[in-house]
Amino acid sequence: MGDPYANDAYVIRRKVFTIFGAKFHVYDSSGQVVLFSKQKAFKLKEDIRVFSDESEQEERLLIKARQIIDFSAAYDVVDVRSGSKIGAFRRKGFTSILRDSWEFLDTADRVIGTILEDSMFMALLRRFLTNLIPQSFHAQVGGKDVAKYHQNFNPFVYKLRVNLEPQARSAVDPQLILAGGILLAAIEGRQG
Amino acid sequence: MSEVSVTCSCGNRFEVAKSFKGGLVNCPKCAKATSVPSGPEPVFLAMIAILVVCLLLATYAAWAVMGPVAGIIAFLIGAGVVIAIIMAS
Repeated sequence: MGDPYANDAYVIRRKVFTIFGAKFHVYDSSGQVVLFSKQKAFKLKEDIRVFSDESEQEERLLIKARQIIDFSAAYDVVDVRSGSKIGAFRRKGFTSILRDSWEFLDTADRVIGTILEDSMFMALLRRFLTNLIPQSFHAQVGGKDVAKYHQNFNPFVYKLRVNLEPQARSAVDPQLILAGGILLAAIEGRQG
Repeated sequence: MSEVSVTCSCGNRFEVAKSFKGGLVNCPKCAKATSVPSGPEPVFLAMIAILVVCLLLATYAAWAVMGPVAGIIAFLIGAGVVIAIIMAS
């Protein structure tokens, strides 16, 4: 199997008819499943595992919350193959009430970038008018755009397109960008 | 800033900032992700305490209004919920 992180465009699709927890397929630009993600059910502390495919034999990433109840929740991301943590994400609790905001953190918890909902106006419309308006997010690391996340308009199936910018790989590990997409799908997608 | 002591599976012992509690950090020696002990979470403990008080009140109310059998059933159901929440944590 090839490198699942070699593409610049992905679609994260939530699996319908999952009884417990949540499952996501990650497709590359040719429509092939490159990753499969599973959010553990009956866990108060978020625990998201990312595998190479649905057989769940080869684990790729682990995304784990630090606390059970945390207004500004932090999620550590581990590359399971190397066994090392590659970074973390922190949801900015107060800011996210009006506009979803996340921070990219390096392994020492230093802020290296942000993931922001597209605009305050659209964010307010989604919150106070209708949540049928698809969400979009812009990711920046070190002042450079690294990725865009766009939710497709589909009230029944949650789909998030992830597009890496040409300079993304020089600024941040692409695994972290995809982990961010899976986290957005699992956490923000649940609120829709 | 106060720190938390972490012991890696490689045997290395090191300190990390409190903000990492319950999370994962890379061991400075072997570079593998290592769990940081979480310790008690005050908000979660407060929630459990409130649940236990509610359980006792519901047991008392069921016992007083519908009799001892209802009280025992209410207690068992409530205790099951509390235990399930603690187990899930």
